[in-house]
Amino acid sequence: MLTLNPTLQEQFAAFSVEASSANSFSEREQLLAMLTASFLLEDADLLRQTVIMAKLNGIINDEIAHVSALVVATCKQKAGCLEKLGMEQHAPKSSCSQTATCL
Amino acid sequence: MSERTHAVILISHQDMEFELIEERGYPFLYFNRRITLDDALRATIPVEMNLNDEEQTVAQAVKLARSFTILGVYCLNEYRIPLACRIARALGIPHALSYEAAINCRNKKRTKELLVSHGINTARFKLIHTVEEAKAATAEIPLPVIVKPSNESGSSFVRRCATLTEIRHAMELIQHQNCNWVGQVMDHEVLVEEYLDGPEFSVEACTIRGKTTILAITHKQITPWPLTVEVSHCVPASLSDRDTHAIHHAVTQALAALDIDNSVTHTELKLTATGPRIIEVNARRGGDKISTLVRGVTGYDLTELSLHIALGGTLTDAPRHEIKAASAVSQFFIAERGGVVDFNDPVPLGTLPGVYSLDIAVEQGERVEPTTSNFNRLGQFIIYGTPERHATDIAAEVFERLAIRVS
Repeated sequence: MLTLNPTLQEQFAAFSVEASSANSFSEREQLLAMLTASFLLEDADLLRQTVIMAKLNGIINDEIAHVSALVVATCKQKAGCLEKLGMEQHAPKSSCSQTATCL
Repeated sequence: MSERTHAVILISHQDMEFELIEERGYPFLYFNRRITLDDALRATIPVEMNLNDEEQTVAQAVKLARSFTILGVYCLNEYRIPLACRIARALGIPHALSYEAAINCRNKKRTKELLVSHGINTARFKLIHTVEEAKAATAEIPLPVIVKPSNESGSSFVRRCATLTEIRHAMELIQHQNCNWVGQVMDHEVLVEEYLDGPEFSVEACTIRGKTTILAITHKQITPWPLTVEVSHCVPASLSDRDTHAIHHAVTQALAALDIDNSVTHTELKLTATGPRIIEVNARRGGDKISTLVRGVTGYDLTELSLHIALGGTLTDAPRHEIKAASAVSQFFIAERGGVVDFNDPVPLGTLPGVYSLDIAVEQGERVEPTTSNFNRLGQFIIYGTPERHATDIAAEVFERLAIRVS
């Protein structure tokens, strides 16, 4: 496993603590963000742990399913754009502005 | 003020607990030390924590229960029954088994002490820590003896010993274990019991509001000594009316001595020349496939009945299903030695009249270790007798035709 040098490790730990303890979001909002990340990372164990934490904090299956749907929709949208980009790269002309918007 | 939602607390998960709670439409708080994603999504509130830390688990249950009206605490896991009882007590649930009664059963030496003090016919026993104590025990209890741990389950580390050397080995094996199957600290005080000669039975019963009802008597067959792995169960046991009555009486007395109430129980005994003698009492349904056998023969589903009682139900209003057969058998495959497994094609046997299920837990050609407890057998099948044939006859045919062997 790769390990950071002690300074970076300390700074990273401080960053992680600050990111999760800063009170810009409610606990519920943080958990929804974590659920989104877990779905996107396709990390089964992280998702398992996050679902347990989320449900313990009152988030229900319908909401978890909705997060999952948003993640799927976003990925699909991105996949659609990439597909379009691929088609455009093979076309005689491309539009940079449209590609940038999609990505 | 809005009324709080009715809910159930489930401790651990073995069988059909989720389905049974869901069928009744209750949300449930599910406690276990490891919870799968599927189970987490299924439970209303999944709580993953170290169940061996009972103080913390009870505190967490009490905290979460504030948002609900908890109707009952449901647990089928032998090791976690005392924890479930502690939670029920902390929540003030009146129709629960008491924590003391749960401990009276869970701790085998306590069971023995109470049975003896109430004059219940049980095997003589001694508690030992050392070889000297083992030697002293054999002066009072003639060889062979049974050596077993105080707080294990599933026949683990239970040995029949014919010499002092065998007792020492069995004792050391137990004392070298730091933890039992679920990581609880192993009690190093070892039980030395009189070996009882006679057929072995288990009794499935329930005690509700002080009244004990015997639901079924199961005849059990065990591996040849020195192991004590269960190899077959037959419901109902074939017994004379006199023996049946004696067993009913002994079990009812034993349950009263252990202060059992509001629980399904599974009592193990041997029928000796001096009558039934109690070996152990468990405040839960019988393990293995005994529930399936009892349901087929009596219509009572012990898993369901356990929940029904946990929710405050009585036997009169308990769910009862169609009686499928007059006899039922479960037979297990074991490896008497380590080696490679071989067996005949099981598929044609699945269609034989009376075969309810056939599960082989190993692959053809797989290398296996010798079976040492109920936890590492090679598979099992269940038979419901037909109008033409008793379940034991069909079981013998399936066993012979499958011919599972280890060489």
